[in-house]
Amino acid sequence: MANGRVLGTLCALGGALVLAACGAQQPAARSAPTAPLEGRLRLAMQTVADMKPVPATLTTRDMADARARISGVLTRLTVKDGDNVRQGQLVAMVRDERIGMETGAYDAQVAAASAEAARAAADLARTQDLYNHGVYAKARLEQVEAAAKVASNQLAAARAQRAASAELGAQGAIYAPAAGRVLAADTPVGSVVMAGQSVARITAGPVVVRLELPEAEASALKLGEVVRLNPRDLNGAASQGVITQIYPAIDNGQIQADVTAPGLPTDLVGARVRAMVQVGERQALLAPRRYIVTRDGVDYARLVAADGTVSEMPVQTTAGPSADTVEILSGVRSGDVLTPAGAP
Amino acid sequence: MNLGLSGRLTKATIASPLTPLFLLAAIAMGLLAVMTIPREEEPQISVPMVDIIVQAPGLRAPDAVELVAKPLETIVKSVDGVEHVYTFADDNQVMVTARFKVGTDPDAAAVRIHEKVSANYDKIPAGIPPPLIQVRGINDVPGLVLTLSPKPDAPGAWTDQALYELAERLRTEIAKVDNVGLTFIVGGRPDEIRIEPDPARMALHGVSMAALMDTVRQANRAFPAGDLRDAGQAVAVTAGHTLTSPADIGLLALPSVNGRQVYVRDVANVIEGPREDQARAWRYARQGRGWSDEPAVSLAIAKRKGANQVVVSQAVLARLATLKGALIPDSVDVAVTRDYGATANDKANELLFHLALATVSIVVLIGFAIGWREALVTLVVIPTTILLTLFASNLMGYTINRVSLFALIFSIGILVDDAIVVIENIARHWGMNDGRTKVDAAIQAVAEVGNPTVVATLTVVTALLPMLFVSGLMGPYMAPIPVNASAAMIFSFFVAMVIAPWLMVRFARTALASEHNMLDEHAEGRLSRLYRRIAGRVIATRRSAWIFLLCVGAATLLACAMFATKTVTVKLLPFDNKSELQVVLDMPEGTSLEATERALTNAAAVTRGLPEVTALTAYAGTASPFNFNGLVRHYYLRNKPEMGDLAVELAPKDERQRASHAIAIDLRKRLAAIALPQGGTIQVVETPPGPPVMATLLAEIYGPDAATRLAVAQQVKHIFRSIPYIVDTHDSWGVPRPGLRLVPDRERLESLKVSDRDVLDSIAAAFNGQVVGYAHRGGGRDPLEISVRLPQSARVWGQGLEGLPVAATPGADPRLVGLGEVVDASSDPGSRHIYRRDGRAVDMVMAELAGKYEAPIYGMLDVDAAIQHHDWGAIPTPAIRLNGQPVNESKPTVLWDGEWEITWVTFRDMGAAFGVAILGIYFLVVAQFKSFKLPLVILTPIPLTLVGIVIGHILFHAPFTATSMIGFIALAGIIVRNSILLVDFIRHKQGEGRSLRDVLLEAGAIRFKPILLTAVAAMIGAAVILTDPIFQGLAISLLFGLASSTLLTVLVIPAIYVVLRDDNRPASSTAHPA
Repeated sequence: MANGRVLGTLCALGGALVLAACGAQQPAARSAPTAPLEGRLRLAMQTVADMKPVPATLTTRDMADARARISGVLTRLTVKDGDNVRQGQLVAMVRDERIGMETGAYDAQVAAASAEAARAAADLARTQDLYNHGVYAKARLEQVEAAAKVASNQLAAARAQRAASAELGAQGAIYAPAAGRVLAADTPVGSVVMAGQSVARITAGPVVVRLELPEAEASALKLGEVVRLNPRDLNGAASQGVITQIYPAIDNGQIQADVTAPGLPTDLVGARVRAMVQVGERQALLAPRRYIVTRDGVDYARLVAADGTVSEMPVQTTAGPSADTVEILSGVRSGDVLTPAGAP
Repeated sequence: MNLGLSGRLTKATIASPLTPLFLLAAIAMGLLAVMTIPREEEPQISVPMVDIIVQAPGLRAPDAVELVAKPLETIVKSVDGVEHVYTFADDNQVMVTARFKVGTDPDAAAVRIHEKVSANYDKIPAGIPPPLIQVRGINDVPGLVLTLSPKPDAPGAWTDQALYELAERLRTEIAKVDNVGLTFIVGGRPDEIRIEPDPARMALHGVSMAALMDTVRQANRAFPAGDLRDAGQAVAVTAGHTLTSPADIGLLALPSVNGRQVYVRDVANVIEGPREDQARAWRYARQGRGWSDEPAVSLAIAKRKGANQVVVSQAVLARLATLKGALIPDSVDVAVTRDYGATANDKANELLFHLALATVSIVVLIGFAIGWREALVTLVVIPTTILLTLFASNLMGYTINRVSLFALIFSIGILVDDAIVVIENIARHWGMNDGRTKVDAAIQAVAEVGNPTVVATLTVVTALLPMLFVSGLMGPYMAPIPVNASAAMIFSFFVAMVIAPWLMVRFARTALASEHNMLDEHAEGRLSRLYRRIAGRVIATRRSAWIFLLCVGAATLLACAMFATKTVTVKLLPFDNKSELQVVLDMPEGTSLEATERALTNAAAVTRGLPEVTALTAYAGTASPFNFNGLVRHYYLRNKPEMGDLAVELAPKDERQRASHAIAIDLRKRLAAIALPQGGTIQVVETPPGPPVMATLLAEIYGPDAATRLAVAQQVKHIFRSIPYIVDTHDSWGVPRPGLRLVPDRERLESLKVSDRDVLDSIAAAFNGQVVGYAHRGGGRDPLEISVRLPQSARVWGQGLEGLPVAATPGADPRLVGLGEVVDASSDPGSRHIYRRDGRAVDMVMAELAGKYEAPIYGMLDVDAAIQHHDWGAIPTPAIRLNGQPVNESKPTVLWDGEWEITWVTFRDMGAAFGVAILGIYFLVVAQFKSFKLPLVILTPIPLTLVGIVIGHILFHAPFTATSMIGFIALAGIIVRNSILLVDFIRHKQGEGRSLRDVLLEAGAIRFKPILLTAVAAMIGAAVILTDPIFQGLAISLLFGLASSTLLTVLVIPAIYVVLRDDNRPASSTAHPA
């Protein structure tokens, strides 16, 4: 009886030991793990837009110059860089001394002519009176009338000349040709300006992003097409816009187009903006970023083999169409199954 | 009595006090030689190969051949000592390799090639840069490889870049060790400062590629500019400074066509990081039940010419031990993945142990067979002879290696003969008790056996020495055998004549009494009685003698027939049992590095399934440190992304059951399950036992033009694949590499007024990348390369790269022109590889043999049969040649090369050597016996060895190899001695008026025991070698050949006498006293 009990205890102990040993066989480090079923991605070639990076500038549709109409000395500049102006607002005054003096001379001529006209009028009154009294003949009256007319016309002419000269002087006022923002108004007061010289540069029209594309790509531009913009170049204001105008002229082998987008900043006019235009379609192997692990500067994709084991294969990647996808250039093929990083 | 040379020699030395001094001196010199002689595993085969690499930018392979390769071949062929000229031509590059005759000094080879090429520099075609000439010899093969990898779960991030840096510093430390030669690093990536131009931003800011390159280059210029006076001193002036960090570079100002202020960092990413090499190395090591998988960097270390690999390895490892913990942190594991010094030392020690074992066995045999005094003398004589031979070997410039030690082992059994014969005879004369002094008796005893001993020694030397003249790669491999064995024989003669008698005289306890059973003329033992019974029946009548001879003849012919029926297969040399294997992966041209890594990972997973594998290192896009096999096959040039290999380390020999060849066969079967794309091959490459060749089975196809050759070659490859035991089939022409050609569009360039040169220069700078200088960091840190390079992620032909600004339009309002605007991109597949040998264009189909047959001859026979039966369509059936390139190339020809070439050269030369040996022996015996017919009788036992050899090979399932052939030739010299002694004895006894049969039986009975004794001694020497995979053939030949020929000789020679000279007198039945 006792022997049986001892034997039984020993068997039980032995069995326990065996079971413990079986349980203690841990898989060693780095044995092939198997992946869970969810989260698996079967790779396939996808059609993506073929985007062409295009240099662009943030600018306004037109750019206006407030030009001096007459040469002279800039006596007043009422705007500075960055000011907003209305159309027709006075921005500067140019004075040409010479014109002032000319106007004075014409003033004197007007005075002389008016004196002459007064004398002719007095003559005429006197002659009329005398005619009325029958002293002078009609011929003389007509002569003096004509002379008076001449004198008053001369006065009018002198006045007109004076008015023209004054008007020329008034042309020293420079008005804003369009409503917009002053980009540059850096001619110092007191400097000599020539007729036609731009005193202030003012934006005109709405803010656009102007693209320049080689003429061979012109067919890729269509009105109304969406163009991607780099928000970092626009202070985060917009990330895409629409082509609203394509200029017909080819300049130096390049075609230009305007892209508008809501909220484009007006204070970065002239900034270079990176834009991407779709020029077609191409095939690419894409995967979300979480399926790629980066170790020591090398990217690895976690491949699931037919028997379920996961192995990491090095891949060459490049940026994908959106921030959270990558395009895989080599290392895996269409039909391979990936599992996300971090899965057991 | 006439003393003869031997007698006089003994007389002069036996009483001289100088003799013991000579003995001691010989032992001392020999021991010194053993300690200082360099040890190797295999003999060094000096076959210098000089590679002349010429870049031919823009040329397709056939054009490069016409412009560069053909003229270069004629120049190289004119150099003295060049045996073969090989050309490997690809698009944009040509390599011409000059292979010199075996044994040429590598320095002489290098100088001759350099001189010839320099003399012809004026003939270099325009646009071709000067060639790169590299000499590779046996000494450039690294004998020690250290692989650095981080320990698993070690703290700190050990990237391959950090490991590379560590390896570089380790390399400088190791270079301080004496006699370290060429060292190189495989794997890892150095750090660099990389300026990655961003085409979109460059276009945006108006900066062209040329402007970027120029700015960076000029900004990194610094140079000394004379000196100036300042406050009475001479001050050295330096202009410029070198850039030190990415931040410095980022702030450099660039000229922009828009007239704006642009910085480098606005148009490019400047980063400090690992160089994006198209190569990667990593290592798997067994850790308990699992495997670790870490990046790895290998440092390969070669020795200088003439240095001793064992000493260099030990010194390097000692230095490494001092660096552990200091230069090498604890978290990095330095594994010794190859150490030829240790393997050579182990092999040499193992063989020296076998040498001692053989010595002791023979001494014990003699002790039991003859007597313990004689055994004691032998115990002194054998080591003395061996040590003297080693000393002579050292003087002649040979090393201790497997081949020389085996030569010594098998010669032990033979060289002991001289001493035994002398000792025996001295004892016999002393036993006569006829009143002479010990010394006189000894001298006369020596004189009596002197001449036959001289002849017997010379026959062995004559048999072996012609082997020295085997040509080709096997020559130096086998040279230690004739040299060492002959030297041993000659020394043994002198030792037997000078030292053995002196020792006998010293060891004699009583002057005249004998102790054990002496070989007395009138005393016979059981063996003799057995002999008389058997031989008596054989030579009873003439008829019985004839029948016996015919049976023996038939048996010999049957033995030869075993080769024809393939019961005994033939092989040049069997594979050795090594602890390293290589798996070579060739993906089709155009495969990216990542796809190669993927295939390699799969192959590594399969390889890890073998229980004997302890570690493996994988190399993708680069080659593992090459060995002698890799040297001949040019594995060190494997640097394309579609190439990869695995260096497999097996457990040491004593820890595993299977030999490496069996493991390789198993691995090959398992690897066949991996799916590779069309054109991809995976081969298991073992260290070849003898000289390395391009492939074991190599068919060279010649033809009138490239298309015919290719068509024939593809059919031949197909035939190779159809034969089951031909494996690892691959070809030399490959698959056309996918290509993209960018051609500037003339009209566009004209309309934009941009020049070709700007466009092409920009493409060169952007796509090839350029190193524009170094950033010196000071403080003993490595300077970093500053390079302008597109990153791998941008290397895609798409809109991104097409926008790269390459030139500026001229005029007042310049703008940048993008690459896509002015070039047309078209797909342009590359050319197939072109291979030429000795001026003829060749396509090669290569394979290995495994399974049923392992020698190329069987593969060749089956392929030849298949070629005859194949339907060739419009192409004429190719002719098949066994040696020599075809003279008439207008018809397609298949030439068998590879191991076959070495096989037939070796066997041809050894056959010739054998013929010369037989002639030499004939002359010697004619000189001894002064008769022309008698020597023919003496030579008859030589074919009898074949019976035993074939039986032995069948029993052991061993192939008949070159070493078996060596054994056969050596046997010729050894067994001739037996028949000489027998015939000599018969001749002496014939004059005494007895019947022929009595004389024959007596001669046989008396000489049987000593003949048997010497045979058994030689067999013991051979038996010790049976376990070595390569020299097993030699052992089997000696063991079984000796057995069969010894037993048959003592019966055949009397039978011949009876057949030719029967005097019809029966044997007397008087039994001799026991």
